[in-house]
Amino acid sequence: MQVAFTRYMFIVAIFGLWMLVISARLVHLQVTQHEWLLDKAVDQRQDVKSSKLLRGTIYDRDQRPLAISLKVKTLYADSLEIADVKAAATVIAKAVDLNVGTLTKQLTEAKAARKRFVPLLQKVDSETVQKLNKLLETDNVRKGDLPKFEGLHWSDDQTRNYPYGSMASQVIGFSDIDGKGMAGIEQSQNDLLYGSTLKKRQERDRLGRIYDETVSETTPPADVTLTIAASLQSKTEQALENGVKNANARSGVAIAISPKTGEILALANYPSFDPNSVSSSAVENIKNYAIQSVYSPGSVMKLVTYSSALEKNLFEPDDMIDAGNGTIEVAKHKFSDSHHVGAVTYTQALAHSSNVCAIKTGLRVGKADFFSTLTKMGFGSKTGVELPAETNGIVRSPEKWNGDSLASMSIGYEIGVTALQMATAFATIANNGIKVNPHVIKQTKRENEAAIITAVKAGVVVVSPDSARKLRTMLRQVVLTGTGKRAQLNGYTSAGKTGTAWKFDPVAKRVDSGKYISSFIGYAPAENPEVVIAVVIDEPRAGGTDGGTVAAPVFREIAEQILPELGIKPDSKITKGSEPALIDVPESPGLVAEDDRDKSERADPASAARTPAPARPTFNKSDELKKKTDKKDRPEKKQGNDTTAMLEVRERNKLNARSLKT
Amino acid sequence: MENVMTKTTRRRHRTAHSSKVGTAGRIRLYLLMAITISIILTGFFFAARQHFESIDYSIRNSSLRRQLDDLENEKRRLIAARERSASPAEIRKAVSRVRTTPSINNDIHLATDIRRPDSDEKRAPFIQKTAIISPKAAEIIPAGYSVPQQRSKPSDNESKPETQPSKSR
Repeated sequence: MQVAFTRYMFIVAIFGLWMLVISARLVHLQVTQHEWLLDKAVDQRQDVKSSKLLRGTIYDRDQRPLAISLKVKTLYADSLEIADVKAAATVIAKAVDLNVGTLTKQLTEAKAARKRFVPLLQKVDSETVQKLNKLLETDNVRKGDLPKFEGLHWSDDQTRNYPYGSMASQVIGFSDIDGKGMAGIEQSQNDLLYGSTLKKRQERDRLGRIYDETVSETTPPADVTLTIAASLQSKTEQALENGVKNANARSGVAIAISPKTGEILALANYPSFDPNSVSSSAVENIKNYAIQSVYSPGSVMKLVTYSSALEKNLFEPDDMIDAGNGTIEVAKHKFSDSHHVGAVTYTQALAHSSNVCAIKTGLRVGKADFFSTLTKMGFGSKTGVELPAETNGIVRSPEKWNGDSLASMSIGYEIGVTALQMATAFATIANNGIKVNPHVIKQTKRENEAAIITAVKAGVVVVSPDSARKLRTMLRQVVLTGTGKRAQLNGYTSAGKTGTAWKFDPVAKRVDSGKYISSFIGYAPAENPEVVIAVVIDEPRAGGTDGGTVAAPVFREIAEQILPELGIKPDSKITKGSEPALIDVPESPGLVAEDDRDKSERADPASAARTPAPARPTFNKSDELKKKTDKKDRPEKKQGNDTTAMLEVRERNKLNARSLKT
Repeated sequence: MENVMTKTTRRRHRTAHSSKVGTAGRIRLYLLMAITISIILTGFFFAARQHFESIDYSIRNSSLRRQLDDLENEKRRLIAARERSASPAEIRKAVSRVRTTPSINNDIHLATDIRRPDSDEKRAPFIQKTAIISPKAAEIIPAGYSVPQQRSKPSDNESKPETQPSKSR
């Protein structure tokens, strides 16, 4: 009994000891090593994967994607997971089409440096990924992710795609390899478009398969819809390209804007660049000249001159004004007309782009009122368009004006403007004197949120509707009988103003009489304008240099294509096979060249030398009329306007150089 | 002595009685244990099955989510490709390629080279008539196709209609 009991207790003791040891081990594992084991288990099971959200898409107004990001993958090697580098490199090089020797060296060096990320192929699309997965598949490798090859993994990446190539490239811009916008909308709306980093906490089983995923909350990027229509943009660009090439010009800008809403329907620059391959594009082509380049507008500035005079009730469109012998001297600075117009109505004066009449009108307006209209129209300040690096332009305050500054500004010199500012000014007149700020973004939208539509701010009244209406009738005559005949449309009425200015040479710091900026800014239809189109051609060298010859045909080509697309009914006869209208006498810059000063003093204005002066417009030069014109001139002399009171002797070129510097 | 006898007698009595009671009770006890254990085991079984099924669904869910991502990406890629092919630059390239392709001229030659049968020969009809036994068999069976209704004007949210042809000269 006693023996049996002893044996029994011995076995119990052994079991007891065994249980004790196991319990001690369990306590050690679950209590002492709890934290370490937990971390290891979590590490084995959980994986935090960071990936970037796709950058927001940029659409045109018809929801066509102009810039879209696509998911791609990068094939990389984890050198520490590759046992036999040479064998692996041979297989990889064959599949991926890389040099075996180079790859072997790269992987060996990476292994020595314990690098866990060695990129082999970047920006690989899904089709190629599948092909490579098949090529790299190895039978005896058990992996949770693809490709089934030891040490190789795919990482997520994205690439920015611009399906329309160079179309509207200066507006859209481009982004760099890190997904940061570098120009255009990509830059100005980078905060909205930027794809933030998304963190995913994934739980994997022993085979690496994901069975649970938690996504951290993050603000998704927004998509941006522009006011630009791809079809209108394409037509505008094509017309501009044709115009620039026909004129053998350096570059050109064309803008189409809705005067009522301020929406920019098209904004074209030529030459352009392809944002899909920015590195191969010329740097100067990336600049958006429509808002970043300043130029002397020339005669298109007469819009401001005459509108400010109309606002002051200084004249009616049918009142007479005498251009005299076609020259005028202000502060010992001579200005001339391209051809004699004599005594004409203000409407005819604008139609034939008489500089003398414009200067007389400007002098009557006075510095303060002229400057006030200039600033109200938006010159000298940014338009506020949602594009980066917009310039203010150059408008000096009246205190800094010289004796002939008002005269120069009346015909578009001593002032620097952008094409968009000029288009906005014409849009103001087209919109009954109400200025609406131009904008290029229609709406922005985040996923699962309502779209935020760009609110059209209330317009600012610049001139009265009556003044605007009168000016529109005058601008209509520019196209019907004046220097803008080539802007006559087939099926639609149009109105506008030509501009021809000498270009300022920043190197020589003087105006270069051999280089021109030719422009035409107009709108259609004439009675109820739906679109304003501005065309500016830089340095035309063939087939004419004036705005009516170079820029007006581009306006015509653009308008005739986009008006039907906008659904605007024709308001004029449609004639088949109509030829472009001939211009009687092309517009001239208006300034007398230094070496031509003697000529101008002797006889006809130098700028009319090439083409014969047309017959003077016939009207009744009765005594009554002469009296009427005299009466008009008298107030001018009586007022003794400010500019004539402050006479300074200076040379023309120094004056212009200083004014454009400031 | 009496006590001892009584104890023994009592023990003997008790043993006899308890042996009868013990067997039945034990059977009941074992039965109860068996039922309880089977219930618990069944519970464990279902719990385990649920657990592994949920993991299985999660794995399928994540692979479907991945598939959805891939399809979304494929959709974006196709949209980009479609827009690229419809872009004016690509259309112009395609047009210039068509114009410069010499095969078109060959096709034109081939078209004009078709030999016409001689007037004396019996000409095989272009349209091969199917074997119609009686006029009844030639009855047209409507395919269920109806003339499409006139398109209504697109709303603001829809894309603009195709452009009208330019009325330029």
